Amino acid sequence: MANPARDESNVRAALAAWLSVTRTLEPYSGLGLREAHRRADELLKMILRGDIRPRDVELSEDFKDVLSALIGSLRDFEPVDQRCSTADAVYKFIAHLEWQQSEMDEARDLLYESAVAGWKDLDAVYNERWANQSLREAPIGRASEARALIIQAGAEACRALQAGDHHSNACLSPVRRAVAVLSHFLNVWPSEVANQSLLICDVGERFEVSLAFDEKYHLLGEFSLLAGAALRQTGRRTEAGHWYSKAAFFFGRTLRPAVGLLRIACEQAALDYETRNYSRAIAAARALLPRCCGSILARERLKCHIIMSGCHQDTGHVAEAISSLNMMRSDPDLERHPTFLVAMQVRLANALALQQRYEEASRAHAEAFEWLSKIDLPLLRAHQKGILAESLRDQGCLEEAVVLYRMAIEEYSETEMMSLTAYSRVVLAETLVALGRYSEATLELQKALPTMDRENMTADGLAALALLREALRRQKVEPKALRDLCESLHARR
Amino acid sequence: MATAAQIEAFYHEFYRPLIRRAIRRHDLSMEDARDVVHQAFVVALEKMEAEGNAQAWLRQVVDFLAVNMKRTSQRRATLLARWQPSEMSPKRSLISIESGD
Repeated sequence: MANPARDESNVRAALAAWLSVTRTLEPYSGLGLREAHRRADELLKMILRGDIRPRDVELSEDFKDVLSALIGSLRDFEPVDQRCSTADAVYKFIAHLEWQQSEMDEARDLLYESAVAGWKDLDAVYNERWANQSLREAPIGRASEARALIIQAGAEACRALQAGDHHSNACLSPVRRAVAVLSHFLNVWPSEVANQSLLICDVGERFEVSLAFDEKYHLLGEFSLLAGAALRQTGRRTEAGHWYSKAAFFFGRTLRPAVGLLRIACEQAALDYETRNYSRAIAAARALLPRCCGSILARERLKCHIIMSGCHQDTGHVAEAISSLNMMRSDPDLERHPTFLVAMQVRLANALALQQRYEEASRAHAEAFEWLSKIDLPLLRAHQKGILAESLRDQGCLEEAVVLYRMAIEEYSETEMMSLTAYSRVVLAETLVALGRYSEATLELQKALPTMDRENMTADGLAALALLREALRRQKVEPKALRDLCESLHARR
Repeated sequence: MATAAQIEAFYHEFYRPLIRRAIRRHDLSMEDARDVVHQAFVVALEKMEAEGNAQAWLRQVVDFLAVNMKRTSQRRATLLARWQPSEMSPKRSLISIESGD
């Protein structure tokens, strides 16, 4: 049978037929209000006592009338202090009924209205949720303490999720705090953020945690997205994609999924950029940019600018890259997000250096240094040193480049960014070869190999191994082979 | 021409959910809900675009008509309360007219 809701011409034909038929016939419009309310009272008692299981219910039209009456009566449910838990019980019951695809709109309405009855101010609930994640760029603090804070927040969240009463705010606050802490330190210590997010997701799913209304799906969506973002930053891209899908699944089951889904789309665009799907990344960033309005999505908006500039620069359109970064510079929320501010300046410096505008590039680097001296961001410090080293190498200042590469490696390694550490070691080895320091180059390659093995950089690892054997035999490394390996690693970076 | 099956599907996917929505969200009586939904169908036949989501469109029209109907009936009730002969004294009605109340 054709589904009128899916085909507009069918709807019009059915509408015309319906109006023609009902001109002479009175259609049955459902249970009378009094009867619907009487049955709704009975149903509520059964739900609260646990006497009725959703899977045993036949979802007839009359039963939907009863559900509708039940939701209507929740708004004025008394006693008031039990309204929220009662509405939540009804919400869970409705969520577990077997709705057909064509009935999903009505199901969503009923779920939404039961949450509104319980929470009263759904806008306030969602604003608080979004604020929790969007304030992630408040003062960063000391990176050396970040790891301990992340671990502590993760442990407290797991304990709270394993505990009993999830309806009370006191029990939920450690979990919400973990979202804030992990988001806050995402760019500072991504490897630990990934560990803790994965742990919390595991606990949340394994213990069949029952939180009020859509809270469970919201929190699992947040932690899945955090896991995906952190895994992407540490170079575990396949896993990152998997966690984005999970986040989309969870956010899709919340009452207002739009913001969560937009954030996932931005992360996916960043992943596309890193895997060199430039056309897809830039199209996504362009489409997302006007949709990421206001402070709540400031981080995503800034990320879109970074993606666009990166795509332009990597495809040789340096002027467009600079223009994207200048647009980013005028964003009113940029100063509230120091990691993006510094990232913008470092990238701008790099692009300007590529245009041989060294004075302007130096100024941009100096500005970045100034910000980095105020905040403790080892990851960005490492990025900046890597970019500076690259710029110096391109200008022929190889000795200085080596010093900066080594500093970058130290900081990448400190924050456990292992694939970036390995990549930087190979780039350093290339520079050392250019200086004729073959044994040092060999040493760097030897250090990079275990990481390439562990991080599943198989092809690069094998190439590096062959290169290393050759270097050890001749005590020198073939520059061209090293350059090939470097290109290949860069593509995976 | 729509088939009987299509009309039945229409009944389940549009008519009954819209009646429920009008009653639940707007506190309408069954009769008023029926009127509002019928009116929405008439409007839809005339104005609904070929593209778009028919369900969402109809829900919005039902909401609009329901709000309108409630406002009209409230206004009528206020007027009745004010001007009903049994409750109206000549002095009170004069004050109301002068103050524009």
